[in-house]
Amino acid sequence: MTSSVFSLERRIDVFAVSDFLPTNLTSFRAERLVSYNNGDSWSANWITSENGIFQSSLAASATGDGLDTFLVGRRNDDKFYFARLPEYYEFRNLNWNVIGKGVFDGKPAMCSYGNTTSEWLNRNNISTTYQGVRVMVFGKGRDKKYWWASSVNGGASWHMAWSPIGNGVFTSSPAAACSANGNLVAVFGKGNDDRIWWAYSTNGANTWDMAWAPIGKGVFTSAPAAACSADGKRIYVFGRGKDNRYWWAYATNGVQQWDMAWTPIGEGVFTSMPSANCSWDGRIIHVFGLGKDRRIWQARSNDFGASWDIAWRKIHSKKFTNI
Amino acid sequence: MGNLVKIQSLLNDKVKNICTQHGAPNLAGVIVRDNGNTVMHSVYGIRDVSKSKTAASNQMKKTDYFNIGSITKPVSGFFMACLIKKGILSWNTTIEEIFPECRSRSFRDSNGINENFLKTKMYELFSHVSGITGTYFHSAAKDDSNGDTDPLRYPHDHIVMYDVNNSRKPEWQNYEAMKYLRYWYTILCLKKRKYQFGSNQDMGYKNKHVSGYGAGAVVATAMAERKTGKAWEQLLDEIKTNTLGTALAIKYGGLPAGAKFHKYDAGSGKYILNDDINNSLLNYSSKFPVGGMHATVSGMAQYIRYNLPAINHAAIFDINAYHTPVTDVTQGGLAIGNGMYGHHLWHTGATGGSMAAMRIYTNQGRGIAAMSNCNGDKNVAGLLLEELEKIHRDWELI
Repeated sequence: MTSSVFSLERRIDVFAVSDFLPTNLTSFRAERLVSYNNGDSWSANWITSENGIFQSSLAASATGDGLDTFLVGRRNDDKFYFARLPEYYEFRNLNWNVIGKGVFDGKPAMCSYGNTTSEWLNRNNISTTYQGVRVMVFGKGRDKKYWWASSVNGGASWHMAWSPIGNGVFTSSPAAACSANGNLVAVFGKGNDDRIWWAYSTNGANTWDMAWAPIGKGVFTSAPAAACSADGKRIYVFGRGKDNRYWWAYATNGVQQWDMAWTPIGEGVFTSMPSANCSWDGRIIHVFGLGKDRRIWQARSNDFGASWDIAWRKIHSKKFTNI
Repeated sequence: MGNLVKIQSLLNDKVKNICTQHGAPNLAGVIVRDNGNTVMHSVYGIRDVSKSKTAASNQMKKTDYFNIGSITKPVSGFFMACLIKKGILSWNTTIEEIFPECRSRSFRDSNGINENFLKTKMYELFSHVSGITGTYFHSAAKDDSNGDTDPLRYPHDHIVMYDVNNSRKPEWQNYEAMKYLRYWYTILCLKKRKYQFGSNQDMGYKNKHVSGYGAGAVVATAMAERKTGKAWEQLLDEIKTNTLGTALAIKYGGLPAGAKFHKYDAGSGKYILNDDINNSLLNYSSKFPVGGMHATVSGMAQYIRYNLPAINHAAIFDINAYHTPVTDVTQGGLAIGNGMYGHHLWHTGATGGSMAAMRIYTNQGRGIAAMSNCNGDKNVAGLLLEELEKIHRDWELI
């Protein structure tokens, strides 16, 4: 339902979609809310994007330097559309471009790494290159497999779109996370057994080291969310349990093992899948979800998840529909 | 001893004549002499050219503020000196001491930053020797063998100011956003190479091979914000209220009392409002520590007095510790003396809608300044500054 990105341990952008035509629940527009103090407080109003009508909620990622934000959503042709938001973007007027010819169910997932570089053209103009800014998008195909696409120029073009990841089939949309150097790429999804399964690559998705294996014995009622630290050693996965609470698992040594799987975060109950992000070192963790009151709630840990100083708190009074 | 009545009259005439001769909306001059015991100033003109020239409510008064442009840099250094006096930071505090995350390879990988500036010290950030360039572009340096560094993307709040209809405007108008933007600016600066001056456009900073734009002062304020958890604006308010004890009429934010920034319109040959700057985002400008402060004539006079060593300000700040790293020519300070006039420190300032100039002769116990909320055509502040020098030279004869 939501997606979120976390920049420089202070700024959180939360994206959701709202009904454009409430009568048929097939047309949604992107919305954005922001915090500049690590989720302590939030901007006064959601801003609605006037360009782009979607049938899914959005996936989001951002470059580590906070200069660029990326969004992906599924439109009414069931294809994924991508937007790059260079700071200081005007959210009302986003420019969306299709990623290949693949068609999908559910919502996309996305992860990215790398940053832009700029040069002077003359006194008044600079040239910015997105070469080396890797963006990877994942989606559940009609065959229930997860497929992925890759760009190495910040989404300006897609050198690969689309390829399946193994033979696993899933009952949810995917989640994804990658390290700052791009070596680790991890993908997560809810299998037919309602457990969360994962695949990973340690060579930048050139090959998949493992695809697929379940994480613990927990069973879930939503798609997962995922985040990882810049060094790829701390990996966090979240999902909505049978009790409608959000549960999470974590690894602290990369792909070696899951140190804990699973434990709930507070007593909050939700009607949507979670979204999550973490700081570069994994110390700060943010989780968001749609409550039964149709409002978006947040949880936050400042100590690697050892405790949650917020669990749960509404970020705004606006109501949303779960898709 | 000069005739102060005649000197004041002459000062008033000079300010008025330069202002009217060049069609400038307003102009102000400040003279501080006798180790701060003599302070004279004059203000002439109107606040807003779009309003009546004769209306009393539109006349610039001594209590009105003038933007001081880049003179803000040494003024920010002064406020930092006050914080340093309290032991909150030191002139030798390094970037990596305040932002230890920058020592982490994975953090640097995440943001694309390098190790060039991690040991850069506070005093270097308030001088022209940090090698941090900010937005500076030199066409000659670009092709120079010493090289220009790459620019910052979105380096300045002016991008926001020019896009006044951006729907995100409200989210940038609070101190939490300011703290993020200053830290973000720091991260972007840390992605760059060190600026290597070597061209003929080195602004005279030939004293050091490694130099840079004074925007490093923003990084310094981000350090203070991380250390204290407070926005630089809040820290300035606290210093003005709790430390300085007297009202220092230097402020950040928008120009108050209806005063406006003006630019020169070549087509009409007149000054017009510069509404790129005259908007509410000026109240929340993350780069104001390098160019967004304003002073009244008494505020500027007081700043000059703070820089006169004959006056004991030891309870407020250490003037020698401030002058040596921040203003001494051998350190490449933000306010520097090049020997041309024999003054110890000087600085000029300009925005798209203002100009100012200041000289402080610490060893002579005096200083002068000129300020105007307009920019274009003629440098009226510079012209007035030379007239203030003449008044000083002729002081005993007037």
